[in-house]
Amino acid sequence: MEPSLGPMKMDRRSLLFILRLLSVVTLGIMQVSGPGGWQETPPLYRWIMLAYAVWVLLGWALKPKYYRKTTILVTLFLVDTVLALVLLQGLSSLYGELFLIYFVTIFVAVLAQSVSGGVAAAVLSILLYAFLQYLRTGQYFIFDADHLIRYPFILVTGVLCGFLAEEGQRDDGEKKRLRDTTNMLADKVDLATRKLIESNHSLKAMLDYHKRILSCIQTGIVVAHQDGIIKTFNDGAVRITGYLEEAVDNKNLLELPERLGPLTKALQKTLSEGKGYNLENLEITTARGEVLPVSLQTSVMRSEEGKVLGAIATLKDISLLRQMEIQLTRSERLSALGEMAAGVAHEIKNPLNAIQGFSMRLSSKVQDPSLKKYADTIVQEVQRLDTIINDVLEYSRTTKLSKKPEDFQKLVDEVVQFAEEKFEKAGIRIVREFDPNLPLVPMDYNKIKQVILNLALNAVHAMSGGGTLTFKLSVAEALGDAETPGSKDWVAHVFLNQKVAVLAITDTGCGIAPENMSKLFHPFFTTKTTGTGLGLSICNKLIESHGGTISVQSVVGTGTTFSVQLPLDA
Amino acid sequence: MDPQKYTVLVAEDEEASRFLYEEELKDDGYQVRTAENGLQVLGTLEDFPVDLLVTDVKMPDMHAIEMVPRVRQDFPELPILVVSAFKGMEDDFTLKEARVSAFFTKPVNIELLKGKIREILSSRPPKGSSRP
Repeated sequence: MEPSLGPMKMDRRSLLFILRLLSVVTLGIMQVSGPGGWQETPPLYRWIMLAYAVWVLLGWALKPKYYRKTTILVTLFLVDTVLALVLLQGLSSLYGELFLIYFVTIFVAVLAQSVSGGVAAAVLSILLYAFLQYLRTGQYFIFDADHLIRYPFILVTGVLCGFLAEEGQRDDGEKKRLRDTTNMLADKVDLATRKLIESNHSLKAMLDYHKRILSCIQTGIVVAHQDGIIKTFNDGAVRITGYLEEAVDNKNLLELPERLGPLTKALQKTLSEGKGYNLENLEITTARGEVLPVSLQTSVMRSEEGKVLGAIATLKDISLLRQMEIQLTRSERLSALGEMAAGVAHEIKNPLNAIQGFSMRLSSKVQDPSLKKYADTIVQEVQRLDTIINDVLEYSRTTKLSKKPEDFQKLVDEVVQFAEEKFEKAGIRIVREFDPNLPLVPMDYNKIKQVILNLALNAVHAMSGGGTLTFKLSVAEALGDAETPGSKDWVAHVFLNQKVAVLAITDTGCGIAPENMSKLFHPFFTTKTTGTGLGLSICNKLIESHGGTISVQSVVGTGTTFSVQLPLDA
Repeated sequence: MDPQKYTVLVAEDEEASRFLYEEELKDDGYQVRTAENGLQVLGTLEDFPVDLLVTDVKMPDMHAIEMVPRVRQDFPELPILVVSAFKGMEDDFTLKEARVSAFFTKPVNIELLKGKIREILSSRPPKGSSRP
């Protein structure tokens, strides 16, 4: 009967309500189905019956917490008992055994949940039973075994029920304590788990963070443990060496590919000697077979106690730096050359001045046509010398640019107009394809004009049998590698995705032999019988000084395209 | 215009070129005086009436950038022609300020040089007019 003993968990209020309702219903049924039925029942009892029902229903309205209070339970018990008693008395005509009715009262008593409560309920029930019996039969005790046995039976039932209820409650209390302990433990475990998960998360985040640093850094990082096993080989190292992490990771230093020799040796030395090394200007051969200039730095990884745990190597690809150095050396050489050229030019130009002047003077003084021709030849040769000197000066001079936004189309038009006679003479048709959206291009107008004119005249030389010369002006997105096979300009690699104005000059001439392609922009390289071989190198220099590039594509027998790319946002 | 009445001072440290200018200008009938360096130029200008100065840029004692302003200070109206072994002298600020009449680059086309001299002198009265 105890809530916690039943299969369904029921609180005390519900249980009590159900039992009391049962009592009300039973009494009600007895009233209705008794001899004479409801009609025969005196109105007073009907009202008492109704009051009992209302009383029980009111009990349901009471909040569960009041059911823990003894006073309230006792009140309920007493009132119930009195009401039930009165009602039973009113139903005196009934056949059934009064005795059975007292179970309802006993059940109610059980709810006191103690042995003493059970005894009290039993005693009260006995007294009531005796009283009711007296009312019926005129005597309290009917002295036959059949009746007398009922008193101890009621007592035993009350005590037993009280005991059981008390035990149940004790059980319940213990269970509750257990439950509380379990809950507390669960809470603690919960908290600990949450903390663990949190710290796990932050650990994971930190690990991830460090992993990300290792994998995103450009520098190659290789870590070898004390026993020589490679434990870290980051993406940078993969990029630089070309070896995949799987090929190296967890391998002993001795098992590394032979090509990584310098790296292996440096790590071994660092481990054995316990000090780091700094090796600039090292060369390694990558898995792809190319020789790459790198700088290699090793450091010792020590524990807090100073014990050597391993060695760390950082690898840097310095090919770009190298290129810049070469570029710098070249420009230094050029400026030295420029100074020298300027000095030499001055010294040469002074005698040339006199030679030319006197030759012209001679030419005007002599009458003999052949002598005159000799003098004129001297003048012509002096002028050729002068051109060469000017080219050298131009090439070696540090160019000062006065850049401002200019109309590239106008410039091309002017060049075409300037060389019109030459084009006509050589039977060359001019085609112009201009992108109407081309904005003004920042440039030194005269210098770029010089470049374009030079390229146009080169094209004329390449098309001795006539042809078509196309000037195509457009805007392009990037200075990509693939776009500029002839470009040696590292600037192009650094400033990718810049907007550029492109002028492509395409001829239908003889083309350039593949073996000459790489030499095109070298000073003094020429395939012509006249000229200094400085034209294209001057062009290249002027375009480079604009931050642009000049490139060439050529097919022998089909023609050549020179592309000039000038940055738009410089 | 009578070239005989005009004196041209040729300043040039290179003997051959100096000789060339002298011969050419004399052929055209001018009075020609020569100077081998800057100091000689300044001295000649002091001592003789000169109608026009043709000068080299680099001379042993003095650069034209130094000499021309000094000449200009004393002879504000004297026409000066500069003949240089280098291009770009016309962009020089000092020479521009000193109102150099024309620039020539070596090897100089002597006919052009003489043409310019004639053009300048034909619009000016001869001798001494440039003296202060």
